[in-house]
Amino acid sequence: MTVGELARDEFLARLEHPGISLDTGPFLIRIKTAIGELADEVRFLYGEFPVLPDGGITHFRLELRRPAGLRRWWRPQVFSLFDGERRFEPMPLALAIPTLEWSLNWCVAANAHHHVMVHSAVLERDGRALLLPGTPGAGKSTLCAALAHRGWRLLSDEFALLRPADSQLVSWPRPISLKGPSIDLIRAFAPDARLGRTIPGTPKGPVAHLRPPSASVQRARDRAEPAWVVFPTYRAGEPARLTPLSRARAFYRLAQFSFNYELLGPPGFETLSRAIDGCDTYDFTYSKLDDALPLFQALVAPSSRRVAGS
Amino acid sequence: MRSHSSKPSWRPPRGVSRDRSGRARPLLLQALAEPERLPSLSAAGWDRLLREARRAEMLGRIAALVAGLGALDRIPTPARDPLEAARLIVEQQQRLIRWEITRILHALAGSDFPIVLLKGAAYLLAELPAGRGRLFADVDIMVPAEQLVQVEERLLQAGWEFVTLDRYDERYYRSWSHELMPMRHRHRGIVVDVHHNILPPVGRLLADARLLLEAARPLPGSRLAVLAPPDMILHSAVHMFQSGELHSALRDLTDLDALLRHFARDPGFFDALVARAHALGLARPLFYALRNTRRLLGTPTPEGLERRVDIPPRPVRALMDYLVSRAMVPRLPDATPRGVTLSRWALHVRYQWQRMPARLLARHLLHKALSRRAAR
Amino acid sequence: MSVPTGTVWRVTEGSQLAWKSWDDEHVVFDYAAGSTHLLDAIAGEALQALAGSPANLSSLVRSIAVSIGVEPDTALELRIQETLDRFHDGGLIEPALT
Repeated sequence: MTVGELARDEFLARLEHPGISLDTGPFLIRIKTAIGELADEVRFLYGEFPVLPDGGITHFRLELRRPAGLRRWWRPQVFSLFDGERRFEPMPLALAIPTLEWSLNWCVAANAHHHVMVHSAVLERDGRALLLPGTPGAGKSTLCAALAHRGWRLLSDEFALLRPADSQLVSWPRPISLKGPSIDLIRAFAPDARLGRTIPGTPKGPVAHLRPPSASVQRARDRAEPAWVVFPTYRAGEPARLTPLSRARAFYRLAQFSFNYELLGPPGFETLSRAIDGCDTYDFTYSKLDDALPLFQALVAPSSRRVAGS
Repeated sequence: MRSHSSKPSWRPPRGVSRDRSGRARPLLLQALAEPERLPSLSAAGWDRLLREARRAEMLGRIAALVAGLGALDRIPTPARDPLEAARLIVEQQQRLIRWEITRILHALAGSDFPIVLLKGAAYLLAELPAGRGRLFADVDIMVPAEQLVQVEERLLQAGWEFVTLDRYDERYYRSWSHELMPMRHRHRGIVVDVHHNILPPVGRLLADARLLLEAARPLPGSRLAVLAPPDMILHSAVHMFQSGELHSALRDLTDLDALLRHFARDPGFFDALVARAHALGLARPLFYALRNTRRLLGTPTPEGLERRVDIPPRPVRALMDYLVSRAMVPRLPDATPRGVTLSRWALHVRYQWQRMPARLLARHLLHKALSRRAAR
Repeated sequence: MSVPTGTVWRVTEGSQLAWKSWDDEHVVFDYAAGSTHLLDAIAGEALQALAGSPANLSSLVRSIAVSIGVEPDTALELRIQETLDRFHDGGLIEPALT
């Protein structure tokens, strides 16, 4: 039973009480809220995720509420509770869905230390994974959304989750958050992309969430071998260019983007370095998606593989 | 997902009194008291236990208990990941603690006074069950009072620095405290606390540090020592009620439980413990330690032991029972957020996520996690 | 940090270094400090030499000149001085106690 297969009324009722438990692949999460607009957005964005029966194990419980009393009528707010405890500052009510997404990210970054976690988009082709680590604004999410609609399977837009045992990448397909001009860009680039409501007026301009493609959600349990690490930079007016980057430099940067590799000590170091061992590593600058995509498709062709040790 | 709902649900362990309010007893206490029943815990039970343990910062302990039973493959699959995460974090912490101790030894090489490890570091290096899966952010050592100045100088020379404190704190430590100001090596994260006693000299209770040092047990092949078993219990008992750290009180209680169960194998142990408590003037803290470990964790102790230690007046006892139950036992605030104040642990998540580079966020989270424990 | 030029350097006591090398570059992870360092070929040589035995700048310049097969000159010396400064700032090396 998926979210989308539940009748809307039933979904809303269960979301309000006791909360809906979702199987998102590596994490079982329970979301609880009585905020109607949020409920419909969750129903759309997480529509293809399996619903778990109540009363089982969930890894993270999030509840989104509005403050009680008169406060709710003046600049309405929303806040999220992790395990029933308020750990985050309230946000404007209009940002309910980003607040849910940020809170979920926080839960994982702060707790899921059975993986080495890197702030990176991850996509897969033929079992081989492409990592796109990036700071906000580097064009990571735009690129990720575009690739996810051109034959690459989305593993995650925010988290590379590496297993310490074998450095394989675990999939956590969640909505992709698109900001500002990226929204229209992706709409034009991939007419089949399914975008949620556009939320105006965030500090970063408008934000919209892209529903993860069906194939990604259905294959949420399939892992992938790290094969490419590409550091994207968006630079207006520049042609798309892949520049080989040394593995040591790629490791160093990946470590900067990791949430917990230092916390894990030697296993963290081994996991990341084993991942880099199997990867071709590049810097990437681009301004247009249409120029960028062919370069990634060419990566997959066997002839383009760098000779080991080069 | 596997379900174990057909199995009988848990009852409070024998010898453990019921919660007066009649509310469901925290599963965490039941799990700590009777870990052998963990493999038969239902999925719903695990859901609750994981959250209680995470809140009390005791996931690592639960992980160690399950691993100790060799039962990792008998618990529901989704419960394994959080336990594995906790195990990895504890392992790295313990690695850092062991390493820090070798660095302390190196800095103090050439001198020959005893260095007594206290609390977590002692349990770890003496390989006591109390150290299994235990998380700690600092190393506590005790040295003879007359060596304190030398230790301070040597550590400063070797790269340790005082953890920044305000002037009031500094004066407190200089004048009154039973320890040096917390120190940390400039390239590392572990905080080192150097004590010359286990109690502040200004406290009402006064234990003679020389007696503790004389009785300390050397660790084989090292100049390190740990407190003698009765002193170890007494130190933990004192710490539980004097540190003022309520969130770590449950950990102290678990330490006490593990220590008592372990030392109880020596038939003369409890007599020695009672005698020692009286000799050091620590009968009252021991009374509370025994009472609460038995009450909350079902720690087996000989019949009538508490009476031989000390009995506070009934109203004091009742008040303490109430306070301990309220303060020590983690309750999940599921029902209502009942005016939870924004703790310093609260995060401005949007700010963090959007503007903080991952590495900084990681450091920030680590710092927050550790400072919550290290704060005193 | 001002350190006299004749200083004998050693790898910091108390560091726990994990190394990984790709081609002629290295990453070094000090798990006790939680810090990661990226070393180019020259820096890698320098740190490896200091891990073997403490050395001052001029003896380090001589030994590295030999291992890369060049004559020691001021440019190399400057480069290694910079490398040592960087190591020192990052806590990888410290003056050896005499």
